[in-house]
Amino acid sequence: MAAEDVKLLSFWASPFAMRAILALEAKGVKYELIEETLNPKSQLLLESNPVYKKIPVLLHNGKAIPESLVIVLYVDEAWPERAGFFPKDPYARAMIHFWSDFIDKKIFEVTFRAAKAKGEEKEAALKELYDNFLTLESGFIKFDAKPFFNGSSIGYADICLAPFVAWLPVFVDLAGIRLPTAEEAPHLHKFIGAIREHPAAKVAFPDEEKLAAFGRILQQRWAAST
Amino acid sequence: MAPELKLLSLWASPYCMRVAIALNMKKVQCEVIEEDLRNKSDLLIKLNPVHKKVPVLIHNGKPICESLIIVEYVDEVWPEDGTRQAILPKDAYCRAMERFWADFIDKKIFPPAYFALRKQGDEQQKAIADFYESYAILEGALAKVSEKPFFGGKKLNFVDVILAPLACWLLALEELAGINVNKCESYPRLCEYFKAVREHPAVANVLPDDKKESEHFRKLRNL
Repeated sequence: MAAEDVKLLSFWASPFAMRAILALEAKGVKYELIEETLNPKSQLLLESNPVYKKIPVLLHNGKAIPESLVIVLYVDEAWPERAGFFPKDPYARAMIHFWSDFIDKKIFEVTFRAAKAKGEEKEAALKELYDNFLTLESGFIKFDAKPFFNGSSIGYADICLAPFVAWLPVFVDLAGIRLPTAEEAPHLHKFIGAIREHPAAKVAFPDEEKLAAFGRILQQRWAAST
Repeated sequence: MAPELKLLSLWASPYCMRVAIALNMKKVQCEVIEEDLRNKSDLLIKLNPVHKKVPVLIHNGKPICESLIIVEYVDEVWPEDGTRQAILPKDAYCRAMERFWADFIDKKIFPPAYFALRKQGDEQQKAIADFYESYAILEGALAKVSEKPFFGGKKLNFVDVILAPLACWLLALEELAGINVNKCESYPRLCEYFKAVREHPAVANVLPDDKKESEHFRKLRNL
């Protein structure tokens, strides 16, 4: 079989790009990482993702696939012979999609909202996030996560959530987010610990100091715009 | 033995219509339970405790929520055979492209349309502008499909199942938000699309009357 041409248009700090990297690493796919500066956006990025003009974009033998979760699903289906990201049962698969959708809407989106908000609005978002983590814990329990939704290897829902772990120190420090304790959410804490040790995460996650500095710049930008 | 299939639904909800269209394409019978969203049933709260929203498909007692997830589930449980078509194709890249456009429609078409129908003043103006911007992008995407009239060519695909219910909002969008996308010079493919999709056997009996839908939103605006 001819060598596959796999490229990923990426940005080192983006949690969405991290999802794509985790998926490729978990499948053992060889790929070229193309770091975008984003200001200005490269011609390749503008051509590959004309609708959103955002990273990540996967380029597989010249075909462009944008949107992090579409990419993760694609990687699972294009390399089906290794490390599947989903259980076989259709109902269990639907539940994995449910939890991934929950992670996107109720964990990531609420966290960004809390980070940008002030005063009462911020407190409300932080409380909502705390409750959402407890709900997520119930998801871990339903799947009997050991420690991942996908068992001992990472799958779709795990890849969806994992970049949160990279950003966690930044979110705690700058946005004041509060996680339930290890007693209240043992599976969540086991997941966080396991992801930090995962070989795919060691490739996908940036240096903590570098990300912290980036987080501070982002926070200044948010504060300036309100 | 026929599967036990129920759908917690709301007649006016395009998200519920998506599921009904998918089930029609699979020629699967389903009991539809109409919810009153101002007085949510115990069943809805029990089966969708996280979001408390319709649609919820209940298959042999097990609930599945979120319209896009339900449609993919229906496609997997009743795969293509002699009697029923596939909704998503087999090829991984084609699946990715259909999911991309379904996600675009779900995030960039329906929410601005909804806010254009529900909001007033500046918020409504922004929603209207967002809707027009997304609609133009969608026209461009459909123009690239060589076979007419659907995103799936002559057949409905995943994108079509997600988009088709917008048909019943077009009158409401014109009457309540001044959005006129029936100008066939500006949106030739989408004009043809919505004329054809209303007639499709899997869609025709799912869409409520346009006037009823417009009246429904008029009432909500006046509350």
